[in-house]
Amino acid sequence: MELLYDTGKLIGVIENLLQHCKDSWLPGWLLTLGIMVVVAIIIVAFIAVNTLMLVLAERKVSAFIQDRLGPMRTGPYGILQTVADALKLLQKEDITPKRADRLIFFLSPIIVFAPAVMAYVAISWSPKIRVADINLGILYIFAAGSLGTLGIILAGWSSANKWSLLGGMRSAAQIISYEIALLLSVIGVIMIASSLNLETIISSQKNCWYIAYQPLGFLLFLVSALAETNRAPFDIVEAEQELVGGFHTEYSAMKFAMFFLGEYANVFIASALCTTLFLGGWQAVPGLPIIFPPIVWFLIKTYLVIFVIMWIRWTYPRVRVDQLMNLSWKFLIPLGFLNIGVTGLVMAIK
Amino acid sequence: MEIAFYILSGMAVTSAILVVSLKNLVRAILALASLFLSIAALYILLSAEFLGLVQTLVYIGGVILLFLFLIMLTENLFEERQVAFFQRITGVGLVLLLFGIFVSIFMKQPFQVIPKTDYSIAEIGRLLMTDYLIPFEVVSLLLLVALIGAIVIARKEEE
Repeated sequence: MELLYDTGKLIGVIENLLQHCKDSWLPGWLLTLGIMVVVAIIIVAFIAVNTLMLVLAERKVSAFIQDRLGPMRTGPYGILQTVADALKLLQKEDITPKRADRLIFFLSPIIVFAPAVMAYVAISWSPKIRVADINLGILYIFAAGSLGTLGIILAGWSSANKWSLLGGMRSAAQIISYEIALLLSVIGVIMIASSLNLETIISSQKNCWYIAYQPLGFLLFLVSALAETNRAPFDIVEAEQELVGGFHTEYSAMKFAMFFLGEYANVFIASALCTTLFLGGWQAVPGLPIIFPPIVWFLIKTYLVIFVIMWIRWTYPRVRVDQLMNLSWKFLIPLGFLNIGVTGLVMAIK
Repeated sequence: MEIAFYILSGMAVTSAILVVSLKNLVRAILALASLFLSIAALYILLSAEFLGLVQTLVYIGGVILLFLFLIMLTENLFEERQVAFFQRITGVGLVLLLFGIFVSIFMKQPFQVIPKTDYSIAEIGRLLMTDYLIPFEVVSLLLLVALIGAIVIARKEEE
C-alpha cells in the first residue's frame, strides 16, 4: 500500500524489474513489445474505469443540477449503476443493419477508440510517470485527436440510415471548423513556453500558471474543446430530438460501448491537456504546501475541469447548426488571431 | 528499423493500390487515409517527426474529412462508381508520365546522405521566416487564390 502513496518508490521497483529483464536472456525487441502491450493494457483499463466513473458522475451531477437524486437503486447510493449498464451492454445482441457497409460499420468504433488510446501516451502524469517524452507532445495529441473524427463520419455513413448520415455530416462540419479555433487557442501558450513539449510547458509554469497570461486562450480552448469532443452545448452531432442518436443510432452492444468509451476518453484527454497547458499540470497550487504527490494534483485539476465541462452541459441549451458555424468562424477564430497577435506584441516589447 | 520500414512501405503500396481499384468511393477514401497514415509513420521513422505529425493533422484531419464531406454531399452514396474507358486510359497515361519524371529525377540527382542536422521545429520555423520567406509567402498566396477561386465558382452556380 505504501507504494501507491510514494510513486517514486513504485517507479524504482519497476525500473529494477526492467533492468533485471534486460540482463536476462530476453531479446531486446521482445522486451519492448512486452512493455508496449502492458502499457496499452494499463491505458485501456484506465479508460474503462474512468468512463464508468465519469458516466456515474455525469448522472449524479445532472441530477443535482436538475434537483433530482439520479440513480439510487443499484448498490448503495446508486454507485453500481454504470457497472450494471456495462454488464447489460456486454450481453446485448450485436446488430448490423441489412444495408450497412459491413466492413466500415465494423471498423468505425475502432477508428474512434484507438486514437483516443494513442493520445494517452503523450500525457505527463507526474515528473516521473509518463509513457513517452515526445518532443512535439501537443502536436501529437492533436494529430491523434484528428484521427477519431474519421470514425464518427464513417459510422454515420456506413449505417445506411439518414439520421446517422446527418449526424456524421454535422460532425465533419463541426470538427473542421473548431479544430482551427482549438489549434489557434494553444499557440499563445506555445509562444510563451517556446516549446511543444508538455514536460517543458509544465515546468515553465513553476511561478505562474498560463491561465494568468492567457485568459482568452484558456476560454477559447475550453469552448473549442467542448465542440471537438461533441459535448453539449455543441452536441448537435447526436442531438436526440432531431437525429434519434446521431451517428451511433444503429449501433448496439459493445460497438456502442466503444463509442462511449472513446467519447469519455477524449473528454479526459481534453481536460488533461487543459490542465497541462493552462493550470500548471502536476504542480501544486503556488503558495500551498505540497501535501499530495504530483499525480494526485494532476488528477484533481483534471477532474475539476471535467466537472466544469459537465456543469456547462447541464446548464446551457444546445446551439443551432447555423449558430455553431457562426460562433467558430466569426468569433473564436478572429479572437484566436487577436490572442496570438497580442501575445507576440507583449513578448516583443518585453 | 528495417523491418518497420518494409512493413510501412508495404502498407503504403497496398493502400495506394486499393485507393485506385476499390469501386466503393468511401472505402477508397478509407484506403487513402491508411496511405497517408503509413507515409506519416515513415516520416517519423526517418526522424522527421514534425513532418509526420503535420501530415496526419492536415491530410487525415483536414483533407480526408473534406473529401468524405464532399462525397456525401454530391455522390449517390450507395452506388458504385462508374469509370469510363477514356478516363482509365488518361489516368494510366498520366501516372506513367509522372512515374517516368520521378525516375528520371532519381537517376539524375545524386543523393548524398545529409549528416544529421537540426530538424527541430525551431529550426524549421527560423528557416521559413528567413531563407525561405518568399517561397513560403508565394505558396500561401497560391492557396488563397485557389480558395477564392473555389468560392467564386460556388457562388456562380447559385445565381
